[in-house]
Amino acid sequence: MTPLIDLENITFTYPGAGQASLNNISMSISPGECVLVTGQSGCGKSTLTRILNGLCPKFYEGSLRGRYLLDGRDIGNISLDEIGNTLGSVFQDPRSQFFCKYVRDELVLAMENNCVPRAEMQERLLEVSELLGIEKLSHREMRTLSSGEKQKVAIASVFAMRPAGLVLDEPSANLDTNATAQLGTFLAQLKRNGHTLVVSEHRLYYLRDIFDRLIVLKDGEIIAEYTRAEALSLTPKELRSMGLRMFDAPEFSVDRSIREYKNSPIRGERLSLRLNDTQILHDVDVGAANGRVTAITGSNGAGKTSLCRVLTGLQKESSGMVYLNEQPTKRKARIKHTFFVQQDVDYQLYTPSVETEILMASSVSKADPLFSDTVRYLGLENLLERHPNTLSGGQKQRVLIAAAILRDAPVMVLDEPTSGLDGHHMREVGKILRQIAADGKSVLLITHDTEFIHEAADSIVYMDRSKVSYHRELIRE
Amino acid sequence: MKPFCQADLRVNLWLIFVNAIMFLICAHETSFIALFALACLWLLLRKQYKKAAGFIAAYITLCFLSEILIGIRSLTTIWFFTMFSRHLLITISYVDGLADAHTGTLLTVFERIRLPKAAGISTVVLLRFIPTIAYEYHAIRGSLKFRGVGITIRQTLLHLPKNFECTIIPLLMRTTRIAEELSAAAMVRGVRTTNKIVSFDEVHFRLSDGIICVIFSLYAIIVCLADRLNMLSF
Repeated sequence: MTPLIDLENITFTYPGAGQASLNNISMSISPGECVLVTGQSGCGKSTLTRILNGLCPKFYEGSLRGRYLLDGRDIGNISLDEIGNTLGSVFQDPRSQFFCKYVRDELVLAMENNCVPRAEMQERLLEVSELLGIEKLSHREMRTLSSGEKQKVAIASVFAMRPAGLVLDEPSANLDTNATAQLGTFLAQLKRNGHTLVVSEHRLYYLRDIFDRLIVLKDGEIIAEYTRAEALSLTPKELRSMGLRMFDAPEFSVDRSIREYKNSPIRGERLSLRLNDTQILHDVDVGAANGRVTAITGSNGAGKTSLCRVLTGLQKESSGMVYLNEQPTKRKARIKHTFFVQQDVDYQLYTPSVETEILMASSVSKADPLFSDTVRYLGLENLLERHPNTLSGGQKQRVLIAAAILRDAPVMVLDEPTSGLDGHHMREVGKILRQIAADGKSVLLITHDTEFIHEAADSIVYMDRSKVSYHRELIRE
Repeated sequence: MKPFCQADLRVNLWLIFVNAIMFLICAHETSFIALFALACLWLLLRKQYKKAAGFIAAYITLCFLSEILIGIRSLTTIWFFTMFSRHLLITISYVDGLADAHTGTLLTVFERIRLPKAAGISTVVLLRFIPTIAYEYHAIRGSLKFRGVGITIRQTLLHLPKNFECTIIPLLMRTTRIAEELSAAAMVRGVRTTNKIVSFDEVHFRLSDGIICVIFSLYAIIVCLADRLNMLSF
């Protein structure tokens, strides 16, 4: 059987890069196969997906050596949209892959630009909407959808062209647990229907029953390739040594309920928030203790980020009160005593060097031992002169954590700090946050990442439909 | 809510063009008021009542501001801004409808009036980007507060250059990155400047569209002539 994808000695180097991002990659993927590509951050997974969908070098310039045959045809002779019609692409960030305002427009975009006849467009639109269960979303605006719904629309819009396969780049990065499970179910169905899947992922657990082969990349090279049986028999120690996450969701249970928040450094009492005729928070009582890491989890749209925005003063509550050290505190004062590290770190880098970024708005000077200790602890000592925007995602995050430490805010909030992080860096972030909590701070984590909760959290606040369902101590097994 | 007047997008484009010309030709404020009245009628016909009310309030406020700023040399730039922006409201009124148009329809209309597809794609991206930039701006300003910048309006005004720098740099970085990712996502789905397009909805220029164009254009021409003959100066 002719492979659908056939790479032979592919080497790709971005312009100005000192070394190749991919080095002598050879792999062959048969029709109907599901290949899971993983590795630590910076290993070349995204570049590999860009090679597969033709974006490298047709859009992202660079030098490409080797041979790539797609369904028997040399990729050099096929245009980007022809490649897209054979191998559809689903990208990581739902916010920046949507061209249109309305769901229906997004679903038909590829068909319109490929001059599919109108009657056939209507037929395919109905087909993909039913396949993904998004019939009712057709007339909605893209910006009103949840992350899970956006990802479904992304897949459906690609599927409307009836490609033979899909290349997915970290499709679960912005999804909650339920949406991730639904994604896994859908990919399993696609595989049963004979579609070829190449999934670049850090989270492995939701694909454990789907993939046929696991390919592990490091520094642009394939360092290991396993069949499904071989991959599933890897021990946790072996997976950790490769910097990977586990195939099984971690075992932990919750214990006693936490209801008393007296003497908490921060607590909200009967907090409600209503925006644009929608109840975002309803009568929420929550608090966090010094020296502890509190994970706030729940489905997308439950109100987790809004709760933290209210607690930190970014958003004014409709009713209720926030107390800092048992003192009712107004919004602007809360901002001065908290630090919110948002999910997208690009919003929070303002200066031309890492050093000035860390010291910005801090009372600590460069000569202060706290500065040098913090920089050393977070592995930033060799990066001080670099421009923050030249750093990797994980490095940028550590810069912000350093800034938070030097600002000496007693309460630190982090929104999805492990989105897109491999196992090794996820565990590193967990260690750092536990150390920060051990130094007396209160750390709040907004996260869907159950592995990270297991690594880092002392207690879990579970939110559902604008309310806190429970706040319980975490017991690790 | 279906508007009373559901015109083809070419009507919007034509009226934007006509009013842009009037913007350059007319000299008297009464001419602009007359054109603005017609623009408000357009919004009301499209059932955009809140927008019409907002534009009227903005127009009155900008008129008032430019009256009180006349002759104050140090504030000439702000005076000019109030003049320019209130006249621009007229043209912006006719943009209503473009932002809500289906993407395929917009690209097809551009193709029918022989404009390059690149212009259509650029328009779609611009319309899609404006709400995105607003979201990005608010996220950046929110994050800045934790760095001690822009916590209060007073603080923002006292440290305006720093606020500007700390806002514009991440905004530029983010929009550049989004633009790149959006372009990549569009290209793999066949959005190109060189190919034709078949829109999901049929696109027709009806008799009613022609009548609207004629009536609105005649009105604008009459206002312009009256302006040139100084019939509208008081």
